[in-house]
Amino acid sequence: MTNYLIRRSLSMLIVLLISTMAIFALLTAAPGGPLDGLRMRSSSARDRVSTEDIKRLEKMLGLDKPAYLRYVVWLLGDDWLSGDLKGERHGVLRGDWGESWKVAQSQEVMMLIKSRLPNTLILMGTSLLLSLAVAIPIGIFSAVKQYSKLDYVVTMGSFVGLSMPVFWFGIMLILVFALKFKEWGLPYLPTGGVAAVRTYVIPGLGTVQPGTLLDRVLHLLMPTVVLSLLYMASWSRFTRASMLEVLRQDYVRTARAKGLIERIVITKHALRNALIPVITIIALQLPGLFTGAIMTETVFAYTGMGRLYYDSMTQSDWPIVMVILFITAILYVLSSLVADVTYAVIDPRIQYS
Amino acid sequence: MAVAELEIGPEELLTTEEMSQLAVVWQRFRKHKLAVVSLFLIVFLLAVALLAPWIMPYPYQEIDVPNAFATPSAEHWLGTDQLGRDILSRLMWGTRISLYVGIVATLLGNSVGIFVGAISGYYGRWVDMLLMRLTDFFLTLPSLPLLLVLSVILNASVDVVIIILASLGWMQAARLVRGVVLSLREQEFIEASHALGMSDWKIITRHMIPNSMAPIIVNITLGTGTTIIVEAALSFLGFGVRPPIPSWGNMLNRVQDYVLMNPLLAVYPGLCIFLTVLAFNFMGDGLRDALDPRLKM
Repeated sequence: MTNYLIRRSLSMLIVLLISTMAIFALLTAAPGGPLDGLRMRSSSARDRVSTEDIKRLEKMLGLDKPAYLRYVVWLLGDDWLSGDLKGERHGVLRGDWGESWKVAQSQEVMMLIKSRLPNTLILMGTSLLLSLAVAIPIGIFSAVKQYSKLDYVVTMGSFVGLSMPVFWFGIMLILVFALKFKEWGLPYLPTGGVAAVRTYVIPGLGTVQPGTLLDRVLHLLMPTVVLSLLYMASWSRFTRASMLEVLRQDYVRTARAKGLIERIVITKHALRNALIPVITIIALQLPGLFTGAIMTETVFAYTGMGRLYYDSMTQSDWPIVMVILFITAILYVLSSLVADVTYAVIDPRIQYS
Repeated sequence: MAVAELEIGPEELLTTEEMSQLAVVWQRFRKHKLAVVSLFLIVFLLAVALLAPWIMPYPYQEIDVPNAFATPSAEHWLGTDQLGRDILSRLMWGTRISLYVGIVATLLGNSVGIFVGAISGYYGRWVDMLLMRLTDFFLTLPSLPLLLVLSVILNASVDVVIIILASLGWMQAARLVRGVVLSLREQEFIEASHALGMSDWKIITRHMIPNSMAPIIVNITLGTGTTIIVEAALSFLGFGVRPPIPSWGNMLNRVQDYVLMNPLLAVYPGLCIFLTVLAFNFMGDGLRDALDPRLKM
């Protein structure tokens, strides 16, 4: 197993390196950049930004170097280069992730991400827990009582969840629970953001101070539900299918024939085996939670990494985009490794030599 | 004791009516009420999409700002949006765009996938390994972030969006077809075809691909639903179909700013997306059961 892990980690690193090269190549080809506005302004005689100034700005941002050199600088920094090429960057491998071009001018990307990451992690974590708590029990019940009313409702529900556009669902929830409820004098939820700026009053709950736990929970409620919907639908369906297949197996029949009560048959024998593929699928879909967070955070103006990605895409702020894509690539590669290892650990039939 | 001989000719012994394969599939499909309803809904939407230029009450880009946020009335059946454009006409044109992008992108992606899967499964060995590694690589790409980047680089227009969506959706078809081809490759009738001198290409196109049509059809149906949602998400974020061309997604762009003026603005486009995708999902599910070769009539 250790051998396998070592080999896997090595190939993971290579894949990551190649993806950063691919991402960098993609972004270099993209139009837009921090100096576009300046170049356009320099066409009128009055506001002319001289070519020397543009060159100076380019040098400051490191844009005067050819693309492959820029990639090396991004990765390893240029403070070890000599002469004209020398700059101040340390490079990603030594912890310098660059500065934002537009979203938060000249702020270090690392700082930006540090400030936003906890919010996204909270959102993703809560959604993950909610989805698991709902999907797996529902999937199990639905399989055990196949063709019952509950099963039918669950199946219809999962169709709805899979077909629902996430952003529209969010907008609808805002419409009903934030705006309409406020109009009707019912306790309402805030329309967006992570926490409020001023104290506000909610009928039924009293005054809410910004920054308190209650405030953050209220702001977290709708985004979590929206993000979880798709996964509740998908995972409950998968659990149901897996459970159904396991319940048809001979060893379940044997367990019943031995006289074990149904509950033990299900929980001790069927469930464990049914959950194996489910866990693998869940591990593989974790990066999707992050992608879903992009949509959810944008709809709810929730200041997290997803929203940061959206903002940097709309403003062509490539340093941030590169780092976030890099993090996403790491997430994907890690989750696939976690899925494989978990699969091997749980299923004793699988051996990685 | 002798059994009485029955006087029945050979024709009368054949009591089961022979049905064509299409008829069998249709009969099995008909059992799923929801799938049939979905089929009708989709046909209706296709009709709207095709006839849109002639049945739209107003041109979709006609601005009438003094009349913005109008409530539904006799002139504007669904009211107007923030620039005074008629919502019904924009929804109709949006049907055209969303269905066009969804269907064409899925068909394109699946065609590429069929081709890749067939070649990969049939020739095996290093071709298979290479193509499968490529497929795995594409599968591990984070879709939404990359979609956004690609649409900025390639300057999103309707056709570019189609190509981008197709390039991220061909992998499933490739895997499906490869599976079918791998299972068929060792069968005797393929060996017989070889022996009879059939060329590889003919074997692929006349044996392998038709046999994989069942899961592919299901894949196309379900994939169209997914593609429609992805296109709507892209357009909602502002990276897909650009205004003034309406797509269901971009009609929801920035709608939170206006939702207090006319809440229905936010409801209609999303409802269209939801119902359409739901229809494709139900139909795909019904098709999957109807086409399943393991069920015996």
